[in-house]
Amino acid sequence: MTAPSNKWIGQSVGRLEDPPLVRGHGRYAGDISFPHQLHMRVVRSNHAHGRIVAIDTAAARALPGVVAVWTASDIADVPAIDFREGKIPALDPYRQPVLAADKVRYVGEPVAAVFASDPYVAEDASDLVTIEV
Amino acid sequence: MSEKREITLTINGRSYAVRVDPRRTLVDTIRDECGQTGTHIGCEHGVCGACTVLLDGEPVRSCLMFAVQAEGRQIRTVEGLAQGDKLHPLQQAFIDHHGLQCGFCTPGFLMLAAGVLEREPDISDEDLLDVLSSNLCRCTGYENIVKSVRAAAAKMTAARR
Repeated sequence: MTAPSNKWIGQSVGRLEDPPLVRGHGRYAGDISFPHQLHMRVVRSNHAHGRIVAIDTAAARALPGVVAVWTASDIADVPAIDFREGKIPALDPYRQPVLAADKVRYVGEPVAAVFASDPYVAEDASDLVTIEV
Repeated sequence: MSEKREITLTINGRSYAVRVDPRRTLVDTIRDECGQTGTHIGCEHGVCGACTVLLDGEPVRSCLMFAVQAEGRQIRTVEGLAQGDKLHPLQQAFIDHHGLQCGFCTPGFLMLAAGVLEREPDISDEDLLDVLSSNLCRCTGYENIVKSVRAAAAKMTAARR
């Protein structure tokens, strides 16, 4: 008895995505470019744990090309980040805010977001944001 | 801010006349001004190697160079590896040995390996490991990348004989 021919079982199957990927023709999120798009740079905590006393964004806002600088108070209506499993009311107090409010809890925690017309300007402006912890 | 400079970059044999800030990195210029998005940006500070391109044959991290430094040099990127429909032996080997999954780090690995194998076709396994350890991949666990480059090296050596 001859086995029915099956080209999928018992051998490696070539991936459709490989030829474009090895040619550099993949399209990734970072390749998206729209006219007049804004660029965001996140300002992060240098402290592992501490109370936020003050955040000064004035110098960053004053830089030409900067469109907005957001801190927690600017996005108070954005809820904290739910757990991957979805909404679990008992865990609500333990969710991480999108931007740190009152307290930072790890080095690298997002504290402010700078938006500018140019990514280099956004980075310059993020350096001008000072966080007193 | 300092004045923009007019420079001409040569990428895969083609000239691109661009105007850039002196501080603009080579990788941003290759991707945004020249539209060659095959070269990727991973860490932006020289750790991951996703942005590796060849500059006069030498692998360099294009996030650590300014575009103005590359004027007059021959830049090669992943888009220039294949000859028309014919893939470079390294590209074919990465497909054959499953040397990629998401493909984000692949252009950097391909250019790193291409530069090294052109300079040192008979590179020892130990030295090859040392070279490949300079780039990061989060998918494959490296084993298949090493396998791919070894296979390509063998094929390229056989083709020369």
